[in-house]
Amino acid sequence: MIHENTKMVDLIHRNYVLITVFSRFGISLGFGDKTIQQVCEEKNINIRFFLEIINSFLDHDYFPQEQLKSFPIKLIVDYLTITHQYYLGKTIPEIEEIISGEKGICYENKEHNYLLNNFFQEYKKELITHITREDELVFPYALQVEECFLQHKSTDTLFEKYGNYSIGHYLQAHDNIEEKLFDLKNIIIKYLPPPKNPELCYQVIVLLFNLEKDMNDHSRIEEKVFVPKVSMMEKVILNKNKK
Amino acid sequence: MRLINYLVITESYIYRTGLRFLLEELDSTGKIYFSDDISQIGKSNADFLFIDPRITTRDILEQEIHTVKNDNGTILVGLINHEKEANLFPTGLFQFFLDLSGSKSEITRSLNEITRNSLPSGKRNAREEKLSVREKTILRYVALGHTNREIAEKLFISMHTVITHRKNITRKLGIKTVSGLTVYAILNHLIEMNDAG
Ligand SMILES: [Fe+2]
Ligand SMILES: [Fe+2]
Repeated sequence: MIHENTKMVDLIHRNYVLITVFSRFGISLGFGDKTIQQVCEEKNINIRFFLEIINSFLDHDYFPQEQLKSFPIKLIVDYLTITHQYYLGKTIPEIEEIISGEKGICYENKEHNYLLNNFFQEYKKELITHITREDELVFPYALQVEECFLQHKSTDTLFEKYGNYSIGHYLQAHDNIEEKLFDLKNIIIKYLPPPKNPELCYQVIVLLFNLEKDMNDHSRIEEKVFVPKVSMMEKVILNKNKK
Repeated sequence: MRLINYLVITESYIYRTGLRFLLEELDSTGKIYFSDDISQIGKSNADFLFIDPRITTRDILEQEIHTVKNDNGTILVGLINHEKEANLFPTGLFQFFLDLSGSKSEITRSLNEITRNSLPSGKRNAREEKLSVREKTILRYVALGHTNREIAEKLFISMHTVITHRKNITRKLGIKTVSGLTVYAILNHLIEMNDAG
C-alpha cells in the first residue's frame, strides 16, 4: 500500500498511468526524491484524500468506501470535475484525432472510415451529455444538499431549485456510458479490417483501454462514494424538515 | 455457452485477489462478485458460491446455507487451507471444497473440476460464437431500428424470447449497443449502409 512517505518517483515507476491522476491534483514532473507528503504540503493537497484515490486506483480490491465517504463533498466533486475536464479536453481530442483526423486511421474502403467515425461521434456526444448533466445539475445539487446538512439550513431553496429531484434519480440513469466505449474497442479490434496504417490503430487501442480503466474508476467513485454520501445527507435533512 | 457467475464470500484480501486472478483466467467465467456478508448467499443468483467458513460462526453458517439449499441449483464451495479441514464440516454442507494451499496449477485444476463436472450440459464449454439464423434475423431488425416489441410482433414470438436472443447476440459478438450492432450488421452485409435505422 502507498503511504505518505512513498517517493513520488517510485509511484510512477510502479504504474505510469498515475501521471494523469497526479495532473488532476496539479502535480507535474521533476519530483527529485520528494515524498508524497512533501509534495502534498507544497501544493496544499489533502493528503489523506490523495492517498485513498491513489490506492484505490492502483488496486481495485482496495476500496476504502468508508474513508472516502468521510471527505467533504466539495473535495470529491472537485476531483470528479477535474477528471471530466481531462476527458473532454485531453483524452477525447487525442482519440478523435486518430479516429477522425486527416492524418488518422485510413481504411482501404472509405465506408469503413465513415462507420468508425460516425460511431465515435455518437459516443462523444453521449459522453458530453453525461458529463454536462453531472457538472451542471448533479454536482451543484449535491453541494447544496451538503450545505443544508452542515449548516442545518431549511430545504426551501433546495426544493425551489430542484423540485423532487434526488440523488436516486441520478443513480438509476447512471451506467450506459461505458457500453459504447466497450463496443468501440471491439469494432476496431474484431470487426474492421486492418487499416493502411495499423500502428495508429494500436495507438488508439491503448488510449481506449486506458480511458476505460480510468472511467471505471471514476464511475466507481461516483456510485460507491459520492451517491451514498449524498443520499445519507438527503435522508437526514428530509427528516428534519418533516418535523 | 452461458458464462458462469461466482459470488465469493470472504473478508480475506488474499483470497479475494487470488480467486479473482484464477477465475478470470478460465474461459467460462462471467461475473465475479465479492461480499463479506454471509446473508448475501440467500439473495445471490450466482452459479457458484465460494464461502470462507471463517466469515461467521458455525451456527449462522449452517443456518444461512440451509436457506439456499435445493432451490436454484447453486453450488456451494467451502474455501479451506488444508485437505483435512474438509472433515470439520458435516457432509453435504458444501458440495465441494477448494484447498487454497496448493500451487497455481493445482488450484486451477481443482477449479476446473468443480466447474466442469457440476454444470448441466448446456453450460459446458463450447466456444461457439457464431450467430444462428434466427439471431441474424433479429440482429437485422435491430440494426434497422426496430424495437423489441416490433420485432416480437413481426416474428410472432414473445418479447421475452426477443430479449433472450438479444442477450445471446451481445454475448457472442461482444457488442452491447444498438449503434454497435448496426455497425456490425453493415460490416457483415446483413443490411445496407443506407438502410441503417
Ligand atoms: Fe462523471
Ligand atoms: Fe458519471
